Amino acid sequence: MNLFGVMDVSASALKAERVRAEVVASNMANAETTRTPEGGPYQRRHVVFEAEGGGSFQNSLMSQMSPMNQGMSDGLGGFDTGFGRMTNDLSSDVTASNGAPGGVAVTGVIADQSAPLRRYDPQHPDAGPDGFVAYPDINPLTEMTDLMGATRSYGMNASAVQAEKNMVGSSLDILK
Amino acid sequence: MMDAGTIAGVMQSAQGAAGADGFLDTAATAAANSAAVPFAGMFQTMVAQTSALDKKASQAVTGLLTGQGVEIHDAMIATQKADMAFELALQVRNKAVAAYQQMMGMQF
Amino acid sequence: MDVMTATGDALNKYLDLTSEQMKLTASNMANVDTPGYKTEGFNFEQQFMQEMNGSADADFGAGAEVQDVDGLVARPDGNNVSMDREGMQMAKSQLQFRMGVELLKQQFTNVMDAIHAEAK
Repeated sequence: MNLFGVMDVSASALKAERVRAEVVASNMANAETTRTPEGGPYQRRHVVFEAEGGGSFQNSLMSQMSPMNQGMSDGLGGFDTGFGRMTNDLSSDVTASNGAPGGVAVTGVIADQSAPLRRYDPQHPDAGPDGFVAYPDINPLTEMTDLMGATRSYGMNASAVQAEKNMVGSSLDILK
Repeated sequence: MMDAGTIAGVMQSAQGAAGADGFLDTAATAAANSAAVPFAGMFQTMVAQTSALDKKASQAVTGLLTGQGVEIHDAMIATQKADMAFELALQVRNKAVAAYQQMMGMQF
Repeated sequence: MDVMTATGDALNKYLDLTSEQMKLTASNMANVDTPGYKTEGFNFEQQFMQEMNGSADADFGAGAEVQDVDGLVARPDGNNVSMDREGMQMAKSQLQFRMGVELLKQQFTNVMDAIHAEAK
């Protein structure tokens, strides 16, 4: 995975944070929803993030490093036979590094299992036999904080994409 | 006829002009040391090595394009190296041809 | 015939390491909200010196190890990624890469000048 692949890693983060923001928006929109197709009030949802390919980053890093070591051990700039230097020179650079290093994936959007809020309102169409209506237990402050966190992470990863683009642009300069 | 010593002299003056370390120096030393090696042999080696570097460069670029994980800067450096090797071989050829023609023009 | 200077080789390795650092930082940044994720990093200077001296392990040993970074505070969900650290690391890597490229270009320019210099 070269620098283009790194943009995939940051892109996965952007996607995940966007899903998180959507879930927050859904929660806030349904804060007073007492009736859902599944029956009962709306259950607060939250996202579960999981690191992708974790641990295999070690392998991909080491597979990148060890061919470099090969090139080093042949000596720097030495003119023995020339061929030996050259065959090791790039043979590694063309082999792929295995394993995608850690992006992030949304493994699920889980409904909260906490008990709903109950308010006494016998006139409400969804009132139970005891006169209580079940409302979702959604605290707008919690949701807003979550949204702010998602926004900040999104911004960070967006500037990471800019930085990666910048680096690719710099490497194009080598040939100028 | 041009011998390895003269080539070494040409290269060394060019090297002195820019102070590139390790590069032309090693070629010049090798050329000077192997005075028994005819110029044709040395030039053939250069061409062979140039084409090998060229092949490596296109391998690297292909690897980059097919997304096999070749780093961009590695492909760039490989391309640049192949370019430089080619330029060097070209210049050596030009000098050799010029020297030959100069000698052919001598009246005896 | 080796068209690359010793400095050029060193710069090539420098660029390789810097882009690895960049990948790692991007990965850390992407996982800033993942519960239980620990920041990964490697000692750049040490790794580079090893590469320069040719003493880095050729086999998968203690060579280019990516470790969990020490000294970071974990939040309640187990995640210890610091946005400030990663942001600064990213800016640094970007500039390092730029610097490496500029210096490498200079090496190439030198060699090309030597090739094109007129024999006196």
